Amino acid sequence: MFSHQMLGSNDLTRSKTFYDALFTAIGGSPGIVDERGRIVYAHKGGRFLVTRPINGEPATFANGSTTGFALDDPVQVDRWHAAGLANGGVTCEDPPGIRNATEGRQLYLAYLRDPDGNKLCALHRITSED
Amino acid sequence: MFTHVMIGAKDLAESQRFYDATLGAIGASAGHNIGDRAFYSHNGGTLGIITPINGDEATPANGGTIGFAAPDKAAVDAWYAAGLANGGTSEGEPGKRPAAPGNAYGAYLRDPTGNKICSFCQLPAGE
Repeated sequence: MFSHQMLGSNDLTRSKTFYDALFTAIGGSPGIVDERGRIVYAHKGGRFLVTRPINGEPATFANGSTTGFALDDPVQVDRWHAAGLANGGVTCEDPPGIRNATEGRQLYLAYLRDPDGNKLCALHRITSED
Repeated sequence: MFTHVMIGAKDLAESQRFYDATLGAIGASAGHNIGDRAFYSHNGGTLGIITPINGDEATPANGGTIGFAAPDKAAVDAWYAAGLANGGTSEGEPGKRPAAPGNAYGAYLRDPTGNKICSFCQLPAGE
């Protein structure tokens, strides 16, 4: 469904530290800074970018919006959350753990706000293999 | 990389009309409403539109954009037209986007809440 996701930053150095830590915690690579100064992460067929707003105004986070990342297992979700906390992120919602979803499904979820306040979620769908 | 993206809605019914039309233009089915939110699943990804759970009004980000993959140029054009016809505003007319990877063609809209979104496809070589 998604071609890419882009989030705004007020300090790209701070954002790169934070997102490099998140992506390397889940087996990805540090971001690449493109010719426009944006930080680009390519991981498992998706593209995620962090940018200074092109209108020159401060970056602000949305109320109501969350970007959800697909992770492989609960250990990876915990690592993702810990890496975020250690690199300028703030926890939000309930601590990492199992949530009961509809139709008997279970999710292992963690939430963070990035250093600019953008809300992020890491999600693993629990299966019989977990 | 992405499981889902949630987008805040000031008016869920209005946003659902907008996303039914725009995502329908790129091949998704109509949203599944479950009270304070509605979900769209398409090609392995899920978009949720939601009235913010903190009770405050939904607000758009500055600097954030959600990009939707379209199958071809006609779908990008249809996505854009559907958005304008359903409460969206233009943030960039359909056209080639040489700064994006590959031979990209895309368009930009603001949804009825003001969230910035875009739709992109890859043109065949030479187009």
